[in-house]
Amino acid sequence: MTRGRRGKRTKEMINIAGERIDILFDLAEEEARAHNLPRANRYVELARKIWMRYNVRIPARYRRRYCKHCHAYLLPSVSCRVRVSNGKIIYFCENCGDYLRMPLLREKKRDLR
Amino acid sequence: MSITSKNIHKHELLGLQARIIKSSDKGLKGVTGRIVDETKNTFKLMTLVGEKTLMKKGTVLAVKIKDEEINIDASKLTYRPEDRIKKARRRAVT
Repeated sequence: MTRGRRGKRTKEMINIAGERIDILFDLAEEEARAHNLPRANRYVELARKIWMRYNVRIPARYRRRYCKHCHAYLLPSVSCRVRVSNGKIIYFCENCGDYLRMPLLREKKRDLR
Repeated sequence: MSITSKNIHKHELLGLQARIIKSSDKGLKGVTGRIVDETKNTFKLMTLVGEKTLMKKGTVLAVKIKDEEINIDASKLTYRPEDRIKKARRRAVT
C-alpha cells in the first residue's frame, strides 16, 4: 500500500518557508542597520537553512544581500563595499574579505539598444 | 497568507513580542520582550534589562500578533527552527 503524500513537501510548507525567509531578511536588515552584525548573520543562516531544507528558490532580491562565501549579511557601507569596474558590480565582504562579482548584463543590453 | 493563530506553530516567531506566562524557572515568569533567537531547545528574549535565554521545555508564551495574544506551549515546539514547518503540530497553540 502506498502512503500517498507522506514525506512530500506541501504547498503550505513552501508558502510558509517563503514567508519566513522574507521575515528573516527584514529582521537581518534591521539588525545590520543597528550595527548588530552577528545577529544579522544569524538570521541569514536561519533563512538559508529554511530554503535548503524545503528546496525553495532564493528570491532574486536577496541574491545580493548576503555573501556567498561566508553567508554574512551585506549592507553597503556597513558590512560591505560596492564598486563598479570592468562591467561588473563588485562587492567586498568586510566579514571574510572576499569579493562577489556580478556582471551588469541588463545595463549593458540597455546601452546597446 | 501571513502569520495567524492557525499557522503560528510553523511560522517565524523571531521578531514577535512575547510574555512568559508559565516557566519552570520562576524568575522568568511575567518577563516580556522580543524574541530574537531560537534554537532547538531555547528561545532568546530581548528584554529591557538585556537578553534572557529560556528553555522551551515547561514554558508557555503569550505571543502578540496584530493586537491579539496567542498562548503557545513552547514545550511542544522542541524542534530546530527550520524543522518546525514540517514537524510542529497544532496542539502547541492553546
